[in-house]
Amino acid sequence: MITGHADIFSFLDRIIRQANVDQAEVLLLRTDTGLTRFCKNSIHQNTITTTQRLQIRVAVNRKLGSFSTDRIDDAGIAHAIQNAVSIANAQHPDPEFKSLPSGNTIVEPRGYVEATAQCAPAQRAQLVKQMCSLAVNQKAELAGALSTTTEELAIVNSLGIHAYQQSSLAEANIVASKAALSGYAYWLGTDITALPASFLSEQALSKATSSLPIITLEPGRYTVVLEPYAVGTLVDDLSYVSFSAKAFQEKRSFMSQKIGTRVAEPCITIWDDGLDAQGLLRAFDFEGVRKRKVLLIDRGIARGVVYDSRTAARQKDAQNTGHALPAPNAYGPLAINLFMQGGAARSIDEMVRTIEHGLYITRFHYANIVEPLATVLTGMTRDGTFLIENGKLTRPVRNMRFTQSILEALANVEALTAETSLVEGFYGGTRVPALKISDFHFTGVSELAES
Amino acid sequence: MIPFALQIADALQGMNVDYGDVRVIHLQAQEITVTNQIPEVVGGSETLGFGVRVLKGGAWGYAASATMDASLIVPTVKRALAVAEASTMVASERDPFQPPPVVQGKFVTPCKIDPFDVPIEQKVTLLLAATKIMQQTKQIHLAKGFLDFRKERKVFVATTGTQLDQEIIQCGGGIVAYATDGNDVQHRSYPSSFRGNFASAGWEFVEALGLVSHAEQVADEARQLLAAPLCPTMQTTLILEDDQLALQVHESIGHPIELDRIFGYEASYAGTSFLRPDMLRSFRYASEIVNVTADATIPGGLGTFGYDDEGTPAQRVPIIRDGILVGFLSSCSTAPRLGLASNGTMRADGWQNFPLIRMTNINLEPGEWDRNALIADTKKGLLLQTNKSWSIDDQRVNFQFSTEVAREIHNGKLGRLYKNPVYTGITPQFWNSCDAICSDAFAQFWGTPNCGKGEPPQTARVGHRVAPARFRNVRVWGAK
Repeated sequence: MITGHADIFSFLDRIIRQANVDQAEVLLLRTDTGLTRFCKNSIHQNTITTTQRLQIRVAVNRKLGSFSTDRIDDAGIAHAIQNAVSIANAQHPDPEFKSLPSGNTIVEPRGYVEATAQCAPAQRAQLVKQMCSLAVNQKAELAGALSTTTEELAIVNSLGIHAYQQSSLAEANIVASKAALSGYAYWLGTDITALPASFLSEQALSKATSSLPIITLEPGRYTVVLEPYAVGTLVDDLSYVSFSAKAFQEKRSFMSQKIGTRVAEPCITIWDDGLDAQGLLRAFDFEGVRKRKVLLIDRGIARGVVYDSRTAARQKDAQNTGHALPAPNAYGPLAINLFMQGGAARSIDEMVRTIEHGLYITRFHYANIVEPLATVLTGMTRDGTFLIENGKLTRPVRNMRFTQSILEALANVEALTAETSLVEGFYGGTRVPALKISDFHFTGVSELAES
Repeated sequence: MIPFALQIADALQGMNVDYGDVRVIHLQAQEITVTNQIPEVVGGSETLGFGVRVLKGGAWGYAASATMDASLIVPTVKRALAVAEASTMVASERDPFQPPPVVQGKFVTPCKIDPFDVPIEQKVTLLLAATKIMQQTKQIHLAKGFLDFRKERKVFVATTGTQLDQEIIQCGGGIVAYATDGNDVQHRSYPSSFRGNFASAGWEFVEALGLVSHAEQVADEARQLLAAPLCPTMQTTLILEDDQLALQVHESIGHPIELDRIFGYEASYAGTSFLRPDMLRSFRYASEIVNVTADATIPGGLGTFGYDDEGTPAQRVPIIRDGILVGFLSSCSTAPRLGLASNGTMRADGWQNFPLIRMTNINLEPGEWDRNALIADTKKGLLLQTNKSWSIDDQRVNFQFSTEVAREIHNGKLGRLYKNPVYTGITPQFWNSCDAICSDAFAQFWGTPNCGKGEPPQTARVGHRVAPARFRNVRVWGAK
């Protein structure tokens, strides 16, 4: 197996020459993933998967063709080139295609930890055992997943781009449950040895083991404290419908009419930065273009969106910011390394203490955009929703449905924690603080008539 | 592919496993998106690999590889075994897996025209024509067309002696028009949203969609929505058209009846279910006119196949009979916990993934109503069509959907359009409010190609055959 940037560049260069077309791009993605899933304190799914993907994109007389395969032998490569070229030849010229991006060599050495790459099934099982034993002691149950992934991503094109990054990822999610209550914890990082197994288990268990009975609240507007898990959902969904240049250019994003205007409280700053190791490092996008930091909302003012080569070429004043997804895709560019600036609150508890009557929310479930332009999002609370009374968490609360404009919520932010956490993103990680938001709109309750 | 799979099965036999199976899969796919007469995405792909599942000491292990090299067979099987052995470190009980009866079988999707024999140029030309027509309507600023094709060859061999060979061909297509007046953006899709409709069928399915002939109407409806008032807030009667009802069935019946969710296997990610095993044959899920079946055998359904990924033959099983819950979707590991045999719903997304319980075709059996008679019988309400967004809680109790369009029903007649309609409800209450279902003449198959579940996320392709139905006292409003 070819591995390492020098040999992979050489291998992909040969494919480019073999294609012998006006322009060509080849992407190689190799992954090794170990995944252990568990429920009721017992492993029920345990897998190791090795994948390899070769994506070839060619341009022939401004006609584009793409083909991907995991058959990486001489016959498979020849077949993929032939298919990509055949698709291009059968195409109509693409008037929006100007060129594949040009560039130089990027080799990103950060983001890879050998211990994660070497994590064996028995080591993952041992970590799961450690987490579950705490639940057994409390007569509770854990469900979750623990995974380790190593990845080699390389992109070479005929205009000089040679990009390579080897990375590792360790990830754990846990839901602790006991009777009608549940709690959640999540961790994401590059180094499996840094995974705080016991801490995560305790964090999830702490919300599932209240002795107080669960109560049902009426829908309505509440002041809420959102843990970073819930804030991440708001930021990711806002990005998904608003911060892509494609949605911006097609007028499907609120940003199309709001650049330079106030859209949120001055305490809100959101940006994307693939080069910041406080997130999940991505040195370049799926066209091999180095990522740029892009300010999306700056102190409440809408500032910009993210571009790939195609959307940058469509717009006179735009620069490619290095946010392409794997080609071909109809979505366009996507911000996948999102950050929200923290604030002044020293802790989540400090924010809770300022609330007379409100809700504490650990995470959201099944959030989906209802109206993209108005950024209206709906979803459910899950795994740790509590009533706040006189500055304290007093009772667990039955899960509630929210239907809320994200922008309106960001205009009602009253406090942010100084500390930020790396939480699950759409395609990577999102680093956000916890938020205190007033007038958060709940429209329903999850309750069966019989219960 | 078959000799390679047999070699792996031999290797499994030599390693003294309790049980083992292998899937070797070759998947070809094509995806086309045309936007405003520009061929934005025209791509093809293929993937070939194998996945080995072993049961050892009562625990599962799985290893998969894209490298179809005979020298990797033994190392891959050993990896699966190592994983199974690790699983036993945190296993509270032995998996009660009961393999299905040994079978040798073949299955091929009935298909008149292989979509991979149709030239790319012809496919792109179809969407160029449809988007051109949509763009000719005033206020349409964005016109998109989609086509998707898949051909999957899947060989399955188990250590029990089962040997299966399947070829499943699927097609899908759709169009969407976006209209704007500078302040608002509205869109209409045909035949449904999120890339259209999908079926296990050949190119003839795409030809029958009539994407070009519907383009003008779709664009006109999008334009009309710009001038439509916001859907009013009310508690009212709903008639759900079949395309929206398909997703309603999917989310509020299809997922809750998955036995792995009920047993907690998906608790940390997709969630569990409000259903419990003891509710079987006693729980009133819906009104007595509601009958639901899980049918993997019906031709054309996106969830139609010959055998599932444990080698269990495709089946038609009742799920809700006269409103009472009578069945779950099960597997060879979950059904024995209830003293039952698997009803054949374990499927994996490709060779890379471990099979999970997935919907097949979850169908609402037709009623007796004529669609026009149903509207005429409704004094006041709304007719909702084409999904725009969806959300449901982790136990599948509280749902909320929005659709592209609502049409007022007043004194039995269709009236004005409303935009941005949203409706919400509680699953059993909603289904118990169903008081009319249209007849078989109005039933249609809807394919859902994007059903997500599991970790890592797997996408299943499932179907729903439904006819429009009426629901009482539903909470509705307009999103703004």
